[in-house]
This record gives sequence, C-alpha cells and structure tokens, in this order.
Amino acid sequence: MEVKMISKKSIKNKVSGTQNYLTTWIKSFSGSLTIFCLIILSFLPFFSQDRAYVSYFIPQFTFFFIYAIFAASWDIATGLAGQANFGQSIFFGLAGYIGGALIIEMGVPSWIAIIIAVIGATFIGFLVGIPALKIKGPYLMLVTLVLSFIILRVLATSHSGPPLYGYEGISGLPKLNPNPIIEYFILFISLIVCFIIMMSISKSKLGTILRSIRDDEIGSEASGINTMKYKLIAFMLCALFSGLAGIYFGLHYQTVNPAGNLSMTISFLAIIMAALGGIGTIRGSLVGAFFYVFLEFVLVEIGLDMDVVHIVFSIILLLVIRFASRGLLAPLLDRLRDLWDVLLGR
Amino acid sequence: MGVLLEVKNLTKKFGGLTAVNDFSFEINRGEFIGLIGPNGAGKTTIFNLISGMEKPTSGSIHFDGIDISGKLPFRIVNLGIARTFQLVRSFKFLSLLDNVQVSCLSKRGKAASKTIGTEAYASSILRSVGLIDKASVPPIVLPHGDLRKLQIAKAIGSNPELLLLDEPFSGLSYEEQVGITDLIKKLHSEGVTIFMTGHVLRELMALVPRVIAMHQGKFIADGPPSEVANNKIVLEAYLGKGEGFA
Repeated sequence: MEVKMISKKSIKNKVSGTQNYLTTWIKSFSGSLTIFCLIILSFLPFFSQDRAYVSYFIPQFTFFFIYAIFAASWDIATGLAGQANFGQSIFFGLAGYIGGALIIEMGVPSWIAIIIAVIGATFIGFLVGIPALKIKGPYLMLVTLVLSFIILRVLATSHSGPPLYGYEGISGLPKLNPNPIIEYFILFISLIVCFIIMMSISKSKLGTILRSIRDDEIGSEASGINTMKYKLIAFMLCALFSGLAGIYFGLHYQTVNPAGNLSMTISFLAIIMAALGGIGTIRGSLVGAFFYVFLEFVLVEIGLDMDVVHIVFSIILLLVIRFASRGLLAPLLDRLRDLWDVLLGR
Repeated sequence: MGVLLEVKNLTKKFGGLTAVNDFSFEINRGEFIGLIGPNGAGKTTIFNLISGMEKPTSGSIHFDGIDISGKLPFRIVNLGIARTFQLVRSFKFLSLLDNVQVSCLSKRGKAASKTIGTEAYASSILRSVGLIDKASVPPIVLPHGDLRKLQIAKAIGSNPELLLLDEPFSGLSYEEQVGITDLIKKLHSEGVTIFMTGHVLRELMALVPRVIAMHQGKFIADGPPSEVANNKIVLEAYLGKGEGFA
C-alpha cells in the first residue's frame, strides 16, 4: 500500500519535475540560445529563392547536421565511456554499404534500408566492442584503427561487380529527397531527435555509469558495475548514431565508396569535430561540426586547396588542445552568457 | 551467527614469488576483524583475492556458502562483499553524489535503494559519512580525510554484508582517524561485518576484538589483540630489533 502511494507520488513528481525542468530550461541561457538557434534553422531555407542558395548553401547545413550526429556518436564511446576509438569510420562506412547494397541490389525502399543499416551498424558496434573488453587505452586505439584499415582494404580490393563494386563503390543511390529543402528538414529533425536522445543518455544514470568507467574502470567494477556490459552498450550506441549519419551521408552523395566513406580521414573528422567542441560534452559536437563545416566552406570559397584546408584544421586543433582543452563550446558559452547578462541588464 | 567468509588453503603466486601461502581462516557474521602484518606480508593480495581482483593459484573462498574464488569483481560486489583500496580511487570528474551513486546503481545497490531511488539513497549515505554539504563538488577538491570517507561511502552504496577496508587510516591525521574510526564503528553496529587491514597497529588493535596476523604470505596468529600482540612469532615478524611494541 505504502509502496503504491510512493510510486504514484513519484510519478506525479516526475511529471511536474519535467515541466518545471522545461520551463526553467527555456528561461535559462542555454535554453534560450537553443530555442533561438532552432528558430533560425527552421526559417533558414526560406530566406532566399536563389538557386545557388538553395542547392549550394543549404546543403552545407545538411552536412552540418550529419557531421554533428557523427561527431556526437564518437563522443559517446570515447568522451563519455573513455574507450579510445579511432575506427569510427567502420560504423559510418559499413552502415552506408549495408543501406546502399539493400537499395541497389534488392530494391528496398530507402527508409527501410536506413533502419536496417542502423541495426546492422549497431551489431557491428557490438562486434568491435568485444576487443575493447580486454584491451585498453592506446592499444584499443591501435586495434580500432587497424580494424578500419582492414575493412577499407577488403572492400577496396573486393570484386568490382555487385554487390560491393570494389574500389568504385556503390553508386546511383537515390537522394533522401530530390528537394534540398525537404532533405534539409529530414536531417534537421533527425539531428534534433538524435541530440535529445544522446543528451538524455549523457544526463541519465547510464551516463553516470559510462563516466565512472572512463574515470576509473577498476573502481567502477569494484562498485559492482558490470563494466563489460556497459562498454558494449557504449560501443553499440556509438555505432547506432554513427551508422545513421553514415547512411544519410551515403544517400546525400548518392554513392558509397571505400575512399569517401571508410577512410581514416572520416574517423579523424569525427575526432576533430568532437575535440573542437569539447570532448565528453556531446553538445560540443554541434559547435565543432558547425565550426568545421563552415570554416571549410569559407576556406574553399576563398580558393584554398583541400589539402591546405586540412592543414589549417590540424593547426586549429593543436591550438585548441593547447589553449582550450575543454573545447570551444565552454568558453564560447561563457562569453555569450556574459553578453546575455549585460543585454538583459542582469 | 554462522560462518560468513571461509578461506581455505588459499595460495597466490606471482611468477616465483608466493604472495599468499596456504592461508586459511573463517569470519563469522557480524564480526569485526583486523588483518595485520608488516609491509609486503600479503594483506592487500588477500583482499584482492577475496574481491576477485586477482584469481587464486589454488585454494577456495566461500562467501555465505557460495564459492566465489575466481569470480568477476562486480559479481562478488553484488553478492555482498564491498571493498576500499589502500590508495584512494575516485571518479574524478563526477560529483561526490554521483561517485556514490555508481555503486547504488549496481544490482545489489539498486535492490537496496528500490523504495527511495538511487539518488536519495546516495545522498543518505553521503549524509551518514558527513559529506552531504559537498555532494555537488568533484573529489579532486577534497582533502585526504574526506577522500577516505568517500571511499567508504562508495563501498557501502552497494549495501554490503562484508566490508573489506584496506588501510583505511593511511595518511590521516589523528583527528581524521577518529572520524573514520567512528564511521567504521557505526557501520559495524548497523550489522556490517568488517574486515580491515592496517599497519598502524595502535589504532587497529584498539578497535577490533580479533586480529589475524600474517607474515610473508603465511598465517601466523589469530586471536584477541592482546594475545596476538604478545605472540612470539608476531613480535619477531614485526620487530626483530628488540624495540617494544604496544
């Protein structure tokens, strides 16, 4: 009887707690900032009817959405759970391959292919997580890196016919939607959903357990936590979101190939973006991905070569690690918050 | 009462070194026992073997009738044995509340905190060790005495029946030792069986009604502190230079 009362009460508390949380969040600085960005992003595609704007500028945001999901997924296994993973391209690329092969070879509708690709990526995450049960730190980094090389070589040297098409990769994939504005909104909504899920994981008790493994694995085990299980969960979650980003990426480019979807550059892209934003923060990946996509856009527009752009990013990453190891997000938020307080006269 | 922990012919070898040699003892439910021995006697290895951090070379450990030798550490915690470490360990980027909450989120901790939830349970533990007003800070800002308290708080989050305390007094001032002593006494009075090591003998001997002494991995004595302290072999193991003890 008493237990029942308590549970009813706690549910009520939880509901009103969520409402309270939402209202205070919206009024808070980061809440207002988020709402502001969401509004801007919702109206952005309608600012101009210009062809170049719609078919060239808007797709940059599509990239930003994909990369933000991708970088944040890396942050789950590495930033939260502390499992050094340099093979993020495995999930990203293989999900693209699974989805692409299903669409081209079996004529599966895109949406079903996306779902199967994500499930497949999650399973691959489980398999990659198994070595992580015994291997730690730099060694795990090497294992995941080498694993991604092996998969890249296997796919690149595979038979040049169906289903994998060797080095050329799978091409002729349908766009998510032929209209760039609709594609923009599909990815925008995916981004919002993914971030709500990832942020709630990070704030949940699961997030606490993952962080405890990162900070002190033996201590976590000594606290009665099945660290093996949670490391696998971290890898599977990481692969799930990474796979979603990967299949979206393939469908956006309408092709999946070893060099573009499985190379080491792809893995480093995730790491650079997450590190720029702040490792272990999840939402930092948003800032990192935005920064990356638009700085690249500007640099390429100026007329710099792609290799030069990569050198610029490497230097920026070094500077960030040296002078702002928390990433760009935290200091950026602090500055903006000060400005906000001044503007509101607080 | 009844036997809670039964260690039989336990042996652990690291290469050519025998850290624990054919060691046997029993602990009854509700006891308060000390494990003493000079540095390097094998006290920590015994704890590592009981808590599953090391696998025994031979011999067996039974807890509450269940064979736990060679089981994974987290399974042993969930059976009801929690431990602290000689060197303090904490989740350095988590708040104190979350530090304690991790063990409340173990299977056994969850069962114990079912009615009030893990967060409230973790706060009640922090309150009982006197760290509640620091619940939201990370452990890196704590003084050493508070870190020692946090170790115990983390261990009792999983609601243990048997608590292994490895050198809970090491590096503490006298005042801090008193605080920890009171805490351990309180836990024992709440029904937790306590098994602790220490090489600062005066505090340990004053606290426990029974001690087990070991030297170079071997069992040498078992009994009330006054008896063990005057045991010839124990004196030889510790002193050897004629300096009086206790």
